Amino acid sequence: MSTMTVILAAISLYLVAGIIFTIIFQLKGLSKIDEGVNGSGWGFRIIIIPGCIVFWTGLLRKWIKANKEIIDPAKEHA
Amino acid sequence: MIKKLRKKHLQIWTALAVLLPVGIISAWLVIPPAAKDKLLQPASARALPVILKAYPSRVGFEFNIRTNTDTTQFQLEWVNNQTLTYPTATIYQTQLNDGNVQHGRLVGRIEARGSYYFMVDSTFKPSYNSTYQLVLYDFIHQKNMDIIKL
Amino acid sequence: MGASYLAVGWNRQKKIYDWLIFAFCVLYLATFVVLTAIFNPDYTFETVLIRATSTLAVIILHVTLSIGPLTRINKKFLPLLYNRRHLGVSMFCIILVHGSFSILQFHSLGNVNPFVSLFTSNTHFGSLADFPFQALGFFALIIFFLMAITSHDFWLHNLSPKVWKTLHMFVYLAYFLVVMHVMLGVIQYETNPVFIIIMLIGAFTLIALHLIAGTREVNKDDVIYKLKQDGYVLVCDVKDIEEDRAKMFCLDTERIAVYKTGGKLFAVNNVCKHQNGPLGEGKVIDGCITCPWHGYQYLPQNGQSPPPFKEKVSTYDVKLEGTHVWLNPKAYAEGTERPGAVISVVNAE
Ligand code: HEM
Ligand code: FES
Repeated sequence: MSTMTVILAAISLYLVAGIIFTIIFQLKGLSKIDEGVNGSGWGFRIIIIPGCIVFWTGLLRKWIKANKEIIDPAKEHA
Repeated sequence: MIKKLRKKHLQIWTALAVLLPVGIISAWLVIPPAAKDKLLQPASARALPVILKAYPSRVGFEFNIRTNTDTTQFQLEWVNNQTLTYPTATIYQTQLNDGNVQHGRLVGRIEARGSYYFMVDSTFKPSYNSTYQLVLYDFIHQKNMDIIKL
Repeated sequence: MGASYLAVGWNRQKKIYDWLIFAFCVLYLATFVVLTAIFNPDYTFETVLIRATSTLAVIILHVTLSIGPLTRINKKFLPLLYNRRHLGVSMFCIILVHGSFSILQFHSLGNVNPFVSLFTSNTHFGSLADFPFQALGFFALIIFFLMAITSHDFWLHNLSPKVWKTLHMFVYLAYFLVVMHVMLGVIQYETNPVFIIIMLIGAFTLIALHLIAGTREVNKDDVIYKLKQDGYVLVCDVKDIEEDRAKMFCLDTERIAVYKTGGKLFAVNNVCKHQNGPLGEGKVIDGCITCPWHGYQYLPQNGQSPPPFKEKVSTYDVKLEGTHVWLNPKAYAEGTERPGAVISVVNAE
Protein backbone atom coordinates (compact mmCIF):
# COMPACT_ATOMS: atom_id res chain seq x y z
CA MET A 1 0.00 0.00 0.00
CA SER A 2 1.41 3.32 -1.03
CA THR A 3 -0.03 5.45 1.79
CA MET A 4 1.83 3.31 4.31
CA THR A 5 5.04 3.70 2.34
CA VAL A 6 4.59 7.47 2.20
CA ILE A 7 3.94 7.70 5.95
CA LEU A 8 6.97 5.51 6.62
CA ALA A 9 9.16 7.64 4.36
CA ALA A 10 7.99 10.83 6.09
CA ILE A 11 8.77 9.40 9.53
CA SER A 12 12.19 8.21 8.38
CA LEU A 13 12.94 11.64 6.95
CA TYR A 14 11.94 13.34 10.19
CA LEU A 15 14.16 10.99 12.19
CA VAL A 16 17.14 11.40 9.87
CA ALA A 17 16.80 15.17 10.28
CA GLY A 18 16.65 14.48 14.02
CA ILE A 19 19.93 12.58 13.93
CA ILE A 20 21.70 15.39 12.10
CA PHE A 21 20.20 17.94 14.48
CA THR A 22 21.25 15.90 17.51
CA ILE A 23 24.90 15.82 16.46
CA ILE A 24 25.06 19.61 16.10
CA PHE A 25 22.88 20.20 19.13
CA GLN A 26 24.98 18.04 21.42
CA LEU A 27 28.09 19.92 20.34
CA LYS A 28 26.76 23.47 20.46
CA GLY A 29 23.22 23.94 21.68
CA LEU A 30 22.69 21.68 24.65
CA SER A 31 24.45 23.77 27.25
CA LYS A 32 22.69 26.92 26.04
CA ILE A 33 19.13 25.80 26.65
CA ASP A 34 19.57 24.36 30.12
CA GLU A 35 22.14 25.41 32.70
CA GLY A 36 21.84 22.01 34.43
CA VAL A 37 23.81 20.57 31.52
CA ASN A 38 27.01 22.34 32.57
CA GLY A 39 29.25 19.92 34.38
CA SER A 40 27.11 16.88 33.58
CA GLY A 41 28.77 13.75 32.36
CA TRP A 42 28.85 11.56 29.28
CA GLY A 43 26.19 9.26 30.65
CA PHE A 44 23.67 12.05 30.72
CA ARG A 45 24.48 13.16 27.20
CA ILE A 46 24.10 9.65 25.85
CA ILE A 47 20.89 8.98 27.70
CA ILE A 48 19.11 11.94 26.13
CA ILE A 49 20.15 11.13 22.54
CA PRO A 50 17.01 9.19 21.54
CA GLY A 51 14.85 11.95 22.96
CA CYS A 52 16.79 14.58 21.02
CA ILE A 53 16.26 12.66 17.80
CA VAL A 54 12.51 12.39 18.34
CA PHE A 55 11.80 15.78 19.93
CA TRP A 56 14.30 17.78 17.92
CA THR A 57 11.78 20.34 16.73
CA GLY A 58 10.97 21.39 20.28
CA LEU A 59 14.64 21.62 21.23
CA LEU A 60 15.39 23.65 18.11
CA ARG A 61 12.72 26.15 19.12
CA LYS A 62 14.23 26.42 22.61
CA TRP A 63 17.69 26.81 21.16
CA ILE A 64 16.62 29.66 18.86
CA LYS A 65 14.88 31.35 21.78
CA ALA A 66 17.94 30.96 24.01
CA ASN A 67 20.13 32.52 21.30
CA LYS A 68 17.83 35.53 21.04
CA GLU A 69 17.93 36.07 24.78
CA ILE A 70 21.72 36.11 24.74
CA ILE A 71 21.92 38.47 21.78
CA ASP A 72 19.27 40.95 22.90
CA PRO A 73 20.95 42.26 26.08
CA ALA A 74 24.16 42.65 24.10
CA LYS A 75 22.29 44.90 21.70
CA GLU A 76 21.00 47.06 24.52
CA HIS A 77 24.51 47.76 25.75
CA ALA A 78 25.83 48.54 22.30
CA MET B 1 0.36 15.98 42.17
CA ILE B 2 -1.77 19.03 41.70
CA LYS B 3 -5.49 19.24 42.19
CA LYS B 4 -6.33 19.39 38.50
CA LEU B 5 -4.20 16.37 37.78
CA ARG B 6 -5.71 14.36 40.63
CA LYS B 7 -9.12 15.02 39.15
CA LYS B 8 -7.96 14.09 35.67
CA HIS B 9 -6.46 10.79 36.86
CA LEU B 10 -9.72 9.94 38.55
CA GLN B 11 -11.69 10.82 35.43
CA ILE B 12 -9.43 8.67 33.26
CA TRP B 13 -9.82 5.71 35.60
CA THR B 14 -13.54 6.16 35.76
CA ALA B 15 -13.57 5.90 31.99
CA LEU B 16 -11.22 2.90 32.08
CA ALA B 17 -13.45 1.23 34.66
CA VAL B 18 -16.05 1.07 31.90
CA LEU B 19 -13.81 0.63 28.86
CA LEU B 20 -11.59 -2.16 30.16
CA PRO B 21 -14.38 -4.57 31.18
CA VAL B 22 -16.32 -3.77 28.01
CA GLY B 23 -13.20 -4.38 25.93
CA ILE B 24 -12.22 -7.58 27.69
CA ILE B 25 -15.71 -9.04 27.73
CA SER B 26 -16.53 -8.21 24.13
CA ALA B 27 -13.25 -9.77 23.06
CA TRP B 28 -14.16 -12.80 25.16
CA LEU B 29 -17.53 -13.08 23.44
CA VAL B 30 -16.09 -13.10 19.94
CA ILE B 31 -13.68 -15.96 20.63
CA PRO B 32 -14.59 -18.52 17.97
CA PRO B 33 -16.36 -21.66 19.14
CA ALA B 34 -13.90 -24.43 19.82
CA ALA B 35 -14.23 -27.94 18.47
CA LYS B 36 -13.63 -29.79 21.71
CA ASP B 37 -10.40 -29.10 23.47
CA LYS B 38 -10.45 -26.45 26.14
CA LEU B 39 -6.69 -26.26 26.28
CA LEU B 40 -5.06 -25.51 22.99
CA GLN B 41 -1.56 -26.85 22.56
CA PRO B 42 -1.95 -29.36 25.40
CA ALA B 43 1.66 -29.96 26.22
CA SER B 44 1.42 -33.36 27.82
CA ALA B 45 -1.29 -34.85 25.61
CA ARG B 46 -0.61 -38.39 24.49
CA ALA B 47 -1.67 -40.15 21.31
CA LEU B 48 -4.77 -42.36 21.47
CA PRO B 49 -3.81 -45.95 20.57
CA VAL B 50 -5.67 -46.55 17.26
CA ILE B 51 -5.17 -44.70 14.00
CA LEU B 52 -8.59 -44.46 12.30
CA LYS B 53 -7.29 -42.78 9.23
CA ALA B 54 -3.90 -41.57 8.11
CA TYR B 55 -4.25 -38.72 5.62
CA PRO B 56 -1.76 -38.43 2.78
CA SER B 57 1.08 -36.17 3.87
CA ARG B 58 1.23 -32.59 2.63
CA VAL B 59 4.20 -30.28 2.17
CA GLY B 60 5.74 -29.97 5.61
CA PHE B 61 3.15 -31.81 7.68
CA GLU B 62 0.84 -34.81 7.97
CA PHE B 63 -2.08 -35.62 10.22
CA ASN B 64 -4.09 -38.59 11.44
CA ILE B 65 -7.40 -39.12 13.15
CA ARG B 66 -6.88 -41.36 16.15
CA THR B 67 -9.29 -43.07 18.51
CA ASN B 68 -9.36 -45.28 21.57
CA THR B 69 -10.07 -49.03 21.51
CA ASP B 70 -13.88 -48.70 21.82
CA THR B 71 -14.10 -45.74 19.39
CA THR B 72 -15.67 -43.36 21.91
CA GLN B 73 -12.99 -40.69 21.74
CA PHE B 74 -11.40 -39.01 18.76
CA GLN B 75 -8.19 -37.17 18.36
CA LEU B 76 -6.46 -35.16 15.69
CA GLU B 77 -2.76 -35.94 15.56
CA TRP B 78 -0.80 -33.22 13.79
CA VAL B 79 2.84 -33.74 12.88
CA ASN B 80 5.05 -31.12 11.32
CA ASN B 81 7.73 -33.21 9.67
CA GLN B 82 9.51 -30.10 8.46
CA THR B 83 9.77 -26.67 10.03
CA LEU B 84 6.84 -24.77 8.55
CA THR B 85 7.43 -21.40 6.91
CA TYR B 86 4.72 -19.82 9.06
CA PRO B 87 5.80 -19.63 12.71
CA THR B 88 2.34 -20.30 14.08
CA ALA B 89 -1.07 -21.23 12.71
CA THR B 90 -4.50 -22.38 13.80
CA ILE B 91 -6.54 -25.34 12.60
CA TYR B 92 -10.26 -24.94 11.94
CA GLN B 93 -12.99 -27.36 11.02
CA THR B 94 -15.37 -25.86 8.45
CA GLN B 95 -18.15 -27.11 6.18
CA LEU B 96 -16.90 -28.53 2.93
CA ASN B 97 -16.24 -25.80 0.35
CA ASP B 98 -16.51 -23.00 2.91
CA GLY B 99 -13.01 -21.67 3.40
CA ASN B 100 -14.04 -18.93 5.81
CA VAL B 101 -12.65 -19.85 9.21
CA GLN B 102 -15.06 -17.49 10.94
CA HIS B 103 -17.84 -19.93 9.98
CA GLY B 104 -15.94 -22.86 11.38
CA ARG B 105 -14.81 -24.22 14.72
CA LEU B 106 -11.34 -23.75 16.15
CA VAL B 107 -9.56 -27.06 16.69
CA GLY B 108 -6.22 -25.90 17.96
CA ARG B 109 -3.04 -24.04 17.40
CA ILE B 110 0.28 -25.31 16.12
CA GLU B 111 3.77 -23.93 15.98
CA ALA B 112 6.38 -24.30 13.28
CA ARG B 113 7.76 -27.59 14.64
CA GLY B 114 6.59 -30.61 16.59
CA SER B 115 3.61 -32.96 17.02
CA TYR B 116 0.27 -31.86 18.43
CA TYR B 117 -2.73 -33.76 19.72
CA PHE B 118 -6.21 -32.26 19.87
CA MET B 119 -9.25 -33.97 21.29
CA VAL B 120 -12.12 -33.65 18.82
CA ASP B 121 -15.70 -34.91 18.54
CA SER B 122 -17.28 -37.56 16.36
CA THR B 123 -17.79 -35.15 13.44
CA PHE B 124 -14.11 -35.78 12.77
CA LYS B 125 -14.78 -39.46 12.21
CA PRO B 126 -13.36 -40.15 8.75
CA SER B 127 -15.85 -41.15 6.05
CA TYR B 128 -15.91 -40.47 2.36
CA ASN B 129 -19.17 -38.57 2.59
CA SER B 130 -17.92 -36.35 5.41
CA THR B 131 -19.17 -32.80 4.92
CA TYR B 132 -16.24 -31.24 6.74
CA GLN B 133 -12.81 -29.99 5.90
CA LEU B 134 -9.79 -28.80 7.85
CA VAL B 135 -8.41 -25.33 7.22
CA LEU B 136 -4.88 -24.46 8.24
CA TYR B 137 -4.95 -20.73 8.90
CA ASP B 138 -2.18 -18.21 9.51
CA PHE B 139 -3.92 -15.79 11.88
CA ILE B 140 -1.07 -13.33 11.93
CA HIS B 141 -1.44 -12.63 8.22
CA GLN B 142 -5.05 -13.87 7.98
CA LYS B 143 -4.37 -16.33 5.17
CA ASN B 144 -5.58 -19.87 4.56
CA MET B 145 -2.44 -21.94 4.18
CA ASP B 146 -4.06 -25.24 3.27
CA ILE B 147 -7.49 -26.89 3.05
CA ILE B 148 -7.97 -30.65 3.34
CA LYS B 149 -11.23 -32.61 3.11
CA LEU B 150 -11.80 -34.78 6.15
CA MET C 1 17.59 22.20 39.59
CA GLY C 2 20.69 24.18 40.36
CA ALA C 3 23.04 21.22 40.24
CA SER C 4 24.10 19.53 37.02
CA TYR C 5 22.43 16.51 35.52
CA LEU C 6 23.55 12.99 36.13
CA ALA C 7 22.66 10.07 33.84
CA VAL C 8 21.12 8.32 36.82
CA GLY C 9 21.14 9.78 40.31
CA TRP C 10 22.10 6.50 41.86
CA ASN C 11 22.28 6.02 45.58
CA ARG C 12 22.23 2.93 47.77
CA GLN C 13 18.47 2.62 47.81
CA LYS C 14 18.12 3.02 44.06
CA LYS C 15 20.87 0.48 43.48
CA ILE C 16 19.12 -2.10 45.59
CA TYR C 17 15.87 -1.32 43.77
CA ASP C 18 17.48 -1.75 40.37
CA TRP C 19 19.19 -4.97 41.36
CA LEU C 20 15.89 -6.36 42.53
CA ILE C 21 14.23 -5.48 39.22
CA PHE C 22 17.10 -7.02 37.32
CA ALA C 23 17.19 -10.19 39.41
CA PHE C 24 13.43 -10.67 39.09
CA CYS C 25 13.54 -10.26 35.31
CA VAL C 26 16.43 -12.67 34.87
CA LEU C 27 14.81 -15.21 37.15
CA TYR C 28 11.47 -14.95 35.35
CA LEU C 29 12.95 -15.24 31.87
CA ALA C 30 15.18 -18.14 32.87
CA THR C 31 12.29 -20.01 34.47
CA PHE C 32 10.15 -19.43 31.40
CA VAL C 33 12.84 -20.72 29.05
CA VAL C 34 13.58 -23.77 31.18
CA LEU C 35 9.92 -24.71 31.61
CA THR C 36 9.31 -24.36 27.89
CA ALA C 37 12.37 -26.47 27.12
CA ILE C 38 10.95 -29.20 29.37
CA PHE C 39 7.29 -29.10 28.37
CA ASN C 40 7.35 -27.79 24.80
CA PRO C 41 10.78 -28.68 23.47
CA ASP C 42 9.61 -28.11 19.90
CA TYR C 43 9.09 -24.39 20.29
CA THR C 44 11.57 -22.26 18.44
CA PHE C 45 13.80 -19.94 20.40
CA GLU C 46 12.08 -16.89 18.90
CA THR C 47 8.67 -18.10 20.06
CA VAL C 48 9.94 -18.64 23.59
CA LEU C 49 11.56 -15.23 23.65
CA ILE C 50 8.45 -13.50 22.30
CA ARG C 51 6.27 -15.07 25.00
CA ALA C 52 8.68 -14.82 27.90
CA THR C 53 9.28 -11.11 27.35
CA SER C 54 5.65 -10.22 26.67
CA THR C 55 4.32 -11.90 29.80
CA LEU C 56 7.10 -10.43 31.94
CA ALA C 57 6.38 -6.96 30.59
CA VAL C 58 2.67 -7.29 31.34
CA ILE C 59 3.48 -8.24 34.94
CA ILE C 60 5.83 -5.27 35.36
CA LEU C 61 3.27 -2.97 33.75
CA HIS C 62 0.67 -3.97 36.32
CA VAL C 63 3.10 -3.44 39.19
CA THR C 64 4.16 -0.05 37.84
CA LEU C 65 0.59 1.14 37.44
CA SER C 66 -0.42 0.07 40.92
CA ILE C 67 2.41 1.89 42.73
CA GLY C 68 0.79 5.33 42.48
CA PRO C 69 -2.53 4.48 44.15
CA LEU C 70 -0.84 2.08 46.61
CA THR C 71 1.26 4.90 48.02
CA ARG C 72 -1.92 6.94 48.48
CA ILE C 73 -3.52 4.09 50.35
CA ASN C 74 -0.50 3.17 52.49
CA LYS C 75 2.72 5.10 52.97
CA LYS C 76 4.68 1.86 53.29
CA PHE C 77 4.68 1.64 49.50
CA LEU C 78 6.54 4.92 49.06
CA PRO C 79 9.94 3.26 48.49
CA LEU C 80 8.46 1.68 45.36
CA LEU C 81 7.57 5.08 43.95
CA TYR C 82 11.05 6.42 44.51
CA ASN C 83 12.43 4.71 41.46
CA ARG C 84 9.32 3.91 39.48
CA ARG C 85 10.87 5.31 36.33
CA HIS C 86 13.48 2.58 36.27
CA LEU C 87 10.70 0.05 36.39
CA GLY C 88 9.08 1.74 33.41
CA VAL C 89 12.27 1.92 31.39
CA SER C 90 13.06 -1.74 32.18
CA MET C 91 9.59 -2.69 30.99
CA PHE C 92 10.15 -0.86 27.74
CA CYS C 93 13.48 -2.61 27.13
CA ILE C 94 11.84 -5.98 27.73
CA ILE C 95 8.82 -5.36 25.55
CA LEU C 96 11.05 -3.98 22.81
CA VAL C 97 12.48 -7.50 22.51
CA HIS C 98 8.95 -8.87 22.15
CA GLY C 99 7.99 -6.30 19.51
CA SER C 100 11.21 -6.64 17.54
CA PHE C 101 11.16 -10.41 17.52
CA SER C 102 7.48 -10.48 16.58
CA ILE C 103 8.19 -8.26 13.62
CA LEU C 104 11.23 -10.34 12.71
CA GLN C 105 9.40 -13.62 13.08
CA PHE C 106 6.16 -12.70 11.38
CA HIS C 107 6.92 -9.88 9.01
CA SER C 108 10.47 -9.96 7.79
CA LEU C 109 10.26 -12.99 5.50
CA GLY C 110 8.32 -11.39 2.65
CA ASN C 111 9.55 -8.74 0.30
CA VAL C 112 7.45 -5.95 1.80
CA ASN C 113 8.92 -3.66 4.42
CA PRO C 114 8.21 -5.32 7.80
CA PHE C 115 6.46 -2.21 9.13
CA VAL C 116 4.27 -2.01 6.05
CA SER C 117 3.54 -5.72 6.44
CA LEU C 118 2.59 -5.17 10.08
CA PHE C 119 -0.19 -2.83 9.04
CA THR C 120 -1.24 -4.29 5.73
CA SER C 121 -1.25 -8.02 6.38
CA ASN C 122 -4.50 -7.54 8.26
CA THR C 123 -6.79 -4.62 7.60
CA HIS C 124 -9.99 -5.83 9.24
CA PHE C 125 -10.29 -2.72 11.38
CA GLY C 126 -14.06 -3.07 11.27
CA SER C 127 -14.20 -6.51 12.83
CA LEU C 128 -13.58 -7.33 16.45
CA ALA C 129 -12.68 -11.00 16.13
CA ASP C 130 -10.34 -10.35 13.23
CA PHE C 131 -8.99 -7.06 14.49
CA PRO C 132 -5.35 -6.36 13.60
CA PHE C 133 -4.19 -6.85 17.16
CA GLN C 134 -0.56 -6.27 16.30
CA ALA C 135 -1.26 -2.66 15.44
CA LEU C 136 -2.56 -2.20 18.99
CA GLY C 137 0.68 -3.62 20.38
CA PHE C 138 2.64 -1.41 18.05
CA PHE C 139 1.00 1.81 19.23
CA ALA C 140 1.40 0.78 22.86
CA LEU C 141 5.08 0.17 22.16
CA ILE C 142 5.40 3.64 20.63
CA ILE C 143 3.90 5.19 23.77
CA PHE C 144 6.24 3.23 26.03
CA PHE C 145 9.11 4.26 23.79
CA LEU C 146 8.28 7.95 24.02
CA MET C 147 7.95 7.67 27.78
CA ALA C 148 11.22 5.79 28.16
CA ILE C 149 13.26 8.23 26.10
CA THR C 150 11.86 11.22 28.00
CA SER C 151 12.16 9.70 31.44
CA HIS C 152 15.18 11.81 32.42
CA ASP C 153 14.44 15.02 34.35
CA PHE C 154 16.07 16.96 31.54
CA TRP C 155 12.93 16.29 29.52
CA LEU C 156 10.62 17.30 32.32
CA HIS C 157 12.24 20.73 32.22
CA ASN C 158 12.76 21.06 28.52
CA LEU C 159 9.49 19.72 27.19
CA SER C 160 7.77 21.75 29.97
CA PRO C 161 6.11 19.95 32.89
CA LYS C 162 2.71 20.24 31.23
CA VAL C 163 3.70 18.49 28.01
CA TRP C 164 5.70 15.93 29.97
CA LYS C 165 2.86 15.07 32.33
CA THR C 166 0.43 14.80 29.44
CA LEU C 167 2.77 12.54 27.52
CA HIS C 168 3.24 10.30 30.53
CA MET C 169 -0.50 10.15 31.16
CA PHE C 170 -0.72 8.31 27.83
CA VAL C 171 0.45 5.26 29.75
CA TYR C 172 -3.20 4.63 30.55
CA LEU C 173 -4.05 4.52 26.87
CA ALA C 174 -1.07 2.24 26.34
CA TYR C 175 -2.35 -0.07 29.06
CA PHE C 176 -5.75 -0.26 27.40
CA LEU C 177 -4.07 -1.00 24.06
CA VAL C 178 -2.00 -3.77 25.65
CA VAL C 179 -5.08 -5.37 27.19
CA MET C 180 -6.82 -5.34 23.83
CA HIS C 181 -3.67 -6.53 22.04
CA VAL C 182 -3.73 -9.61 24.22
CA MET C 183 -7.50 -10.09 24.22
CA LEU C 184 -7.89 -9.77 20.45
CA GLY C 185 -4.60 -11.53 19.76
CA VAL C 186 -3.51 -14.72 21.44
CA ILE C 187 -6.63 -15.11 23.53
CA GLN C 188 -8.71 -15.56 20.39
CA TYR C 189 -6.70 -18.72 19.73
CA GLU C 190 -6.33 -19.87 23.28
CA THR C 191 -9.66 -21.06 24.63
CA ASN C 192 -8.29 -21.78 28.08
CA PRO C 193 -10.15 -19.21 30.19
CA VAL C 194 -7.23 -18.91 32.61
CA PHE C 195 -5.70 -16.20 30.43
CA ILE C 196 -8.88 -14.17 30.26
CA ILE C 197 -9.26 -14.46 34.01
CA ILE C 198 -5.69 -13.24 34.57
CA MET C 199 -6.30 -10.21 32.36
CA LEU C 200 -9.60 -9.52 34.12
CA ILE C 201 -8.08 -9.76 37.59
CA GLY C 202 -5.23 -7.48 36.55
CA ALA C 203 -7.58 -4.88 35.11
CA PHE C 204 -9.97 -5.01 38.06
CA THR C 205 -7.16 -4.66 40.58
CA LEU C 206 -5.86 -1.56 38.84
CA ILE C 207 -9.32 -0.07 38.43
CA ALA C 208 -10.17 -0.67 42.09
CA LEU C 209 -6.88 0.77 43.37
CA HIS C 210 -7.12 3.87 41.23
CA LEU C 211 -10.76 4.52 41.98
CA ILE C 212 -10.30 4.08 45.74
CA ALA C 213 -7.18 6.22 45.96
CA GLY C 214 -8.51 8.74 43.46
CA THR C 215 -11.85 9.36 45.15
CA ARG C 216 -10.15 9.68 48.52
CA GLU C 217 -7.77 12.32 47.24
CA VAL C 218 -10.39 14.25 45.34
CA ASN C 219 -12.62 14.20 48.41
CA LYS C 220 -9.80 15.64 50.50
CA ASP C 221 -9.54 18.48 48.01
CA ASP C 222 -13.23 19.15 48.31
CA VAL C 223 -13.39 19.52 52.12
CA ILE C 224 -15.06 22.82 52.99
CA TYR C 225 -13.67 24.88 55.87
CA LYS C 226 -16.43 27.01 57.32
CA LEU C 227 -14.82 29.20 59.96
CA LYS C 228 -13.19 32.26 58.45
CA GLN C 229 -11.86 35.45 60.00
CA ASP C 230 -9.78 38.31 58.53
CA GLY C 231 -8.72 36.15 55.60
CA TYR C 232 -7.71 33.30 57.91
CA VAL C 233 -9.43 29.91 57.86
CA LEU C 234 -9.68 27.58 60.82
CA VAL C 235 -8.13 24.32 59.63
CA CYS C 236 -7.31 22.07 62.59
CA ASP C 237 -6.04 21.71 66.11
CA VAL C 238 -2.32 22.03 66.77
CA LYS C 239 -2.35 18.54 68.33
CA ASP C 240 -3.47 17.06 64.99
CA ILE C 241 -0.05 17.73 63.52
CA GLU C 242 2.87 15.53 64.55
CA GLU C 243 6.31 16.97 65.18
CA ASP C 244 8.37 17.35 61.97
CA ARG C 245 5.31 16.42 59.92
CA ALA C 246 2.53 18.29 58.22
CA LYS C 247 -1.15 18.29 57.47
CA MET C 248 -2.51 19.43 54.14
CA PHE C 249 -5.47 21.67 53.46
CA CYS C 250 -6.99 22.61 50.15
CA LEU C 251 -8.51 26.02 50.79
CA ASP C 252 -8.34 27.52 47.35
CA THR C 253 -6.98 26.02 44.20
CA GLU C 254 -4.14 24.00 45.64
CA ARG C 255 -3.15 22.22 48.82
CA ILE C 256 -1.09 23.95 51.47
CA ALA C 257 1.15 21.97 53.83
CA VAL C 258 1.26 23.15 57.45
CA TYR C 259 4.43 21.84 59.08
CA LYS C 260 5.17 21.58 62.80
CA THR C 261 8.87 21.72 63.53
CA GLY C 262 11.11 23.12 66.25
CA GLY C 263 8.21 24.54 68.29
CA LYS C 264 6.75 26.44 65.34
CA LEU C 265 4.19 26.04 62.57
CA PHE C 266 5.07 26.95 58.98
CA ALA C 267 2.94 26.82 55.86
CA VAL C 268 4.25 26.15 52.35
CA ASN C 269 2.69 25.25 49.04
CA ASN C 270 2.23 21.49 48.87
CA VAL C 271 3.49 21.08 45.31
CA CYS C 272 7.13 20.05 44.90
CA LYS C 273 8.96 21.83 42.11
CA HIS C 274 10.47 18.61 40.86
CA GLN C 275 7.52 16.53 39.76
CA ASN C 276 4.76 17.99 41.88
CA GLY C 277 5.23 15.53 44.72
CA PRO C 278 3.15 16.20 47.88
CA LEU C 279 5.49 18.09 50.23
CA GLY C 280 2.98 17.77 53.06
CA GLU C 281 3.43 14.01 53.02
CA GLY C 282 7.13 14.28 53.58
CA LYS C 283 8.89 15.09 56.82
CA VAL C 284 11.48 17.49 58.15
CA ILE C 285 14.94 15.99 57.80
CA ASP C 286 18.02 18.03 58.83
CA GLY C 287 15.84 21.09 59.20
CA CYS C 288 14.42 20.80 55.69
CA ILE C 289 11.02 19.74 54.43
CA THR C 290 11.89 16.68 52.37
CA CYS C 291 9.70 15.61 49.46
CA PRO C 292 8.52 12.02 49.86
CA TRP C 293 8.86 11.26 46.17
CA HIS C 294 12.49 11.90 45.27
CA GLY C 295 13.87 13.82 48.22
CA TYR C 296 14.01 17.47 47.08
CA GLN C 297 14.38 19.73 50.12
CA TYR C 298 12.96 23.11 51.16
CA LEU C 299 13.42 25.27 54.23
CA PRO C 300 10.14 25.54 56.15
CA GLN C 301 10.44 29.24 56.93
CA ASN C 302 10.95 30.47 53.36
CA GLY C 303 10.21 27.57 51.01
CA GLN C 304 13.68 27.78 49.44
CA SER C 305 15.88 24.82 48.60
CA PRO C 306 19.22 25.05 50.39
CA PRO C 307 22.12 25.99 48.05
CA PRO C 308 23.27 24.96 45.47
CA PHE C 309 19.66 24.21 44.57
CA LYS C 310 17.39 26.98 43.38
CA GLU C 311 13.86 25.63 43.76
CA LYS C 312 11.39 27.78 45.65
CA VAL C 313 7.81 27.27 46.69
CA SER C 314 5.23 29.78 47.93
CA THR C 315 4.81 30.39 51.64
CA TYR C 316 1.73 31.32 53.66
CA ASP C 317 0.81 32.86 56.98
CA VAL C 318 -0.33 30.66 59.86
CA LYS C 319 -1.40 31.75 63.32
CA LEU C 320 -2.42 30.06 66.52
CA GLU C 321 -5.31 31.01 68.74
CA GLY C 322 -5.32 28.77 71.76
CA THR C 323 -4.87 25.37 70.16
CA HIS C 324 -6.64 26.36 66.92
CA VAL C 325 -4.57 26.60 63.78
CA TRP C 326 -5.62 29.36 61.39
CA LEU C 327 -4.25 29.43 57.87
CA ASN C 328 -4.31 32.27 55.37
CA PRO C 329 -4.65 30.96 51.80
CA LYS C 330 -3.08 34.08 50.29
CA ALA C 331 0.23 32.96 48.79
CA TYR C 332 3.41 34.95 49.17
CA ALA C 333 5.87 35.04 46.29
CA GLU C 334 7.89 31.84 46.07
CA GLY C 335 10.72 31.83 48.59
CA THR C 336 9.33 34.63 50.83
CA GLU C 337 10.43 34.30 54.45
CA ARG C 338 7.53 34.04 56.97
CA PRO C 339 7.80 34.09 60.75
CA GLY C 340 5.55 31.08 61.30
CA ALA C 341 3.50 30.63 64.46
CA VAL C 342 5.17 29.95 67.80
CA ILE C 343 3.64 27.09 69.75
CA SER C 344 3.68 28.09 73.42
CA VAL C 345 3.38 25.59 76.25
CA VAL C 346 -0.22 26.66 76.65
CA ASN C 347 -1.02 25.83 73.02
CA ALA C 348 0.65 22.50 73.19
CA GLU C 349 -1.48 21.21 76.02
C1 HEM D 1 5.46 -3.71 17.65
C2 HEM D 1 4.74 -4.09 18.64
C3 HEM D 1 4.18 -5.47 18.86
C4 HEM D 1 4.02 -6.51 17.99
C5 HEM D 1 4.35 -6.57 16.50
C6 HEM D 1 3.45 -7.61 18.73
C7 HEM D 1 3.11 -8.83 18.20
C8 HEM D 1 2.59 -9.87 18.90
C9 HEM D 1 2.25 -11.15 18.35
C10 HEM D 1 2.43 -11.54 16.88
C11 HEM D 1 1.78 -11.93 19.34
C12 HEM D 1 1.32 -13.37 19.23
C13 HEM D 1 2.51 -14.22 19.44
C14 HEM D 1 2.17 -15.66 19.50
O1 HEM D 1 1.20 -16.00 20.16
O2 HEM D 1 2.89 -16.44 18.92
C15 HEM D 1 1.79 -11.14 20.55
C16 HEM D 1 1.39 -11.58 21.78
C17 HEM D 1 1.47 -10.85 22.95
N1 HEM D 1 1.89 -9.53 23.06
FE1 HEM D 1 2.59 -8.38 21.56
N2 HEM D 1 3.29 -7.21 20.04
C18 HEM D 1 3.73 -5.92 20.16
C19 HEM D 1 3.74 -5.15 21.31
C20 HEM D 1 3.34 -5.59 22.55
C21 HEM D 1 3.34 -4.78 23.75
C22 HEM D 1 3.77 -3.31 23.84
C23 HEM D 1 2.90 -5.60 24.77
C24 HEM D 1 2.72 -5.31 26.25
C25 HEM D 1 3.39 -4.60 27.03
C26 HEM D 1 2.63 -6.89 24.21
C27 HEM D 1 2.17 -7.97 24.94
C28 HEM D 1 1.84 -9.19 24.40
C29 HEM D 1 1.38 -10.31 25.17
C30 HEM D 1 1.19 -10.35 26.69
C31 HEM D 1 1.14 -11.35 24.27
C32 HEM D 1 0.61 -12.75 24.62
C33 HEM D 1 1.70 -13.70 24.95
C34 HEM D 1 2.49 -14.07 23.72
O3 HEM D 1 2.01 -14.81 22.89
O4 HEM D 1 3.61 -13.56 23.60
N3 HEM D 1 2.91 -6.86 22.87
N4 HEM D 1 2.30 -9.88 20.25
S1 FES E 1 8.48 15.34 43.22
FE1 FES E 1 10.43 14.55 42.97
S2 FES E 1 11.33 15.27 44.76
FE2 FES E 1 9.43 16.11 44.93
